Amino acid sequence: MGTSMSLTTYRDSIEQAVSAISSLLHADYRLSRRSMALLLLQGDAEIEEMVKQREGKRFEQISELLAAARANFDTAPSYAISLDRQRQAERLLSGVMRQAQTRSFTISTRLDGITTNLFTGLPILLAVLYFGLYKFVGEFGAGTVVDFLEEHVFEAYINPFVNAWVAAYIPWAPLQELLAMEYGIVTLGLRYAIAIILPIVGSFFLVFSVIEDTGYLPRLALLVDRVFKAIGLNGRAVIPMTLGFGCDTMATLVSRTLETRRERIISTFLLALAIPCSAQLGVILALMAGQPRALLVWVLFMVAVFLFIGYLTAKVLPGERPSFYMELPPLRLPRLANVLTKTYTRMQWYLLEVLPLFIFASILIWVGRLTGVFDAIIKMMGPLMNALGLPESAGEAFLFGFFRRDYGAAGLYDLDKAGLLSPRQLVVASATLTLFVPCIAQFVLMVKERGAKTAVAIFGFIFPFAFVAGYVLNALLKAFGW
Amino acid sequence: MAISFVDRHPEHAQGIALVRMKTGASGRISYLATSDPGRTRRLLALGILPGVRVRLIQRIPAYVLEVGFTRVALDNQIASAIFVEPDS
Repeated sequence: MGTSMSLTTYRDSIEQAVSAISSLLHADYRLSRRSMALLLLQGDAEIEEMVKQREGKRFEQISELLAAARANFDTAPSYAISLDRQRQAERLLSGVMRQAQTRSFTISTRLDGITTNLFTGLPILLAVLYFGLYKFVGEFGAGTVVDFLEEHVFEAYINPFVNAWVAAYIPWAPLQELLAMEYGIVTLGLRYAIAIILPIVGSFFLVFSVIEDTGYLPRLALLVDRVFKAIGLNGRAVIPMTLGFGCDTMATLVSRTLETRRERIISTFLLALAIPCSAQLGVILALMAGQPRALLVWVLFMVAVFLFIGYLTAKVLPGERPSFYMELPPLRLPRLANVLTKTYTRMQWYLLEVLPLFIFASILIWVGRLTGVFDAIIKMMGPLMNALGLPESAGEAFLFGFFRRDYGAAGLYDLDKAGLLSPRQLVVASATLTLFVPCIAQFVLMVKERGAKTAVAIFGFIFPFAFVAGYVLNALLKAFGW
Repeated sequence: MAISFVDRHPEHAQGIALVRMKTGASGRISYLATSDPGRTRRLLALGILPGVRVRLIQRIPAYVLEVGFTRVALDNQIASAIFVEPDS
């Protein structure tokens, strides 16, 4: 079965090896024996493992044949196989395909040159970041939409209704607090998830889908490849890294598309350490809205930490050097239907995967407050806060940031509104909080994707590092007279 | 059963390294340096094979080539495996 009906024939050397190997294959593989033999010759590790298990003793003979075949090729059998396929594909095509000789110089090819050129590409990147991230996600998503949902939906209708309902029907105060009031599941957990996070993440996903569908991301990957090489990654990693500005949890999931284990670990680590998610970013941008100097210091500090720690990690972690190769699809105008579908799918994932964890975090916070554990921890953090030059009440923001990145940032927001933070304290607190541990959802995914050992090691590094970095930043800023 | 055959590369004296070509120049890929199997696999995955037409579009910050009907971006390490017989 399957040996005779083949569209492609290869050079004699390959055909000989194929027939020798396939005569030794006796188990049932669903694929034809010829295909199996070809895959074995091409060095497919998965297939080799399968054959090893199913052929038993015959596998010894098979691997001898494979070794002999490999030794007889100057390069690799897979190379010869690809060449022969290419030749036959060309022969087939030459009969049926005609190529138009005129190649017009279209807008697309001109734009292509501009986006991949270093001198024009960087300003374009900054423009994309400014309009896409700052204007649309920051001002529209995190500003206009959040304000509307917060003030005109939750605070006007839902919260008063839930609070009144709970007060009327639930007699036990702690249970009232679980569902409603200041830190309840509905009034805090759901309100946060739906009124604050969802619009921010949703507008980010919308922008990201547009950018993705234009074909811009591979060009961005090309632009940053050299910088990323210095931190042990290749340009391709720009895709999970950019996605991290939307949701680090989703980005950690996407980092599995990277080629080597080393790159996956480095990107997971940097996502957890130095990439603020859109929820956190939204609150921090709002926090520093009136203070461009503070914002600039925060951005520079985060970039410096990202590059420096990335560089050190790449030095320490053993493994294959990253390599960059990528197809550049033509630049296209995105289609609205596709963009909306993608945005919708991502938001759906977000609600299904992350929302339950948010509610879980609300419950943990409830337990922590009820038992007095939180108050004790906040008190213990007092000296640590003082060391960073922060008021002791900032401890609460850090503790909550442990449960959800943006809870922490939102806690700072309250402190700032109360006039408790100077510009220096604002920068130090924001920077430390951005570096500080990933949210629960992200940590769960880190364990799932990279294994418990790696996830705990990353966590164990970030925890003290965030505070040391904050301390150094505070000292530096003081020295510069802030 | 023994297999007795040898498949050796044809002598590839002709062809220059792609990374030495002028930007904008084109030609036909004459051979690939296959010392590194990982690199070879990646090139094959992109359809970069001997016999295929290629044009060098840019080299900084990464190499961009037109290969057949597609464009690909490569870093220096991968691009340096490609040897081309340039169009005269």
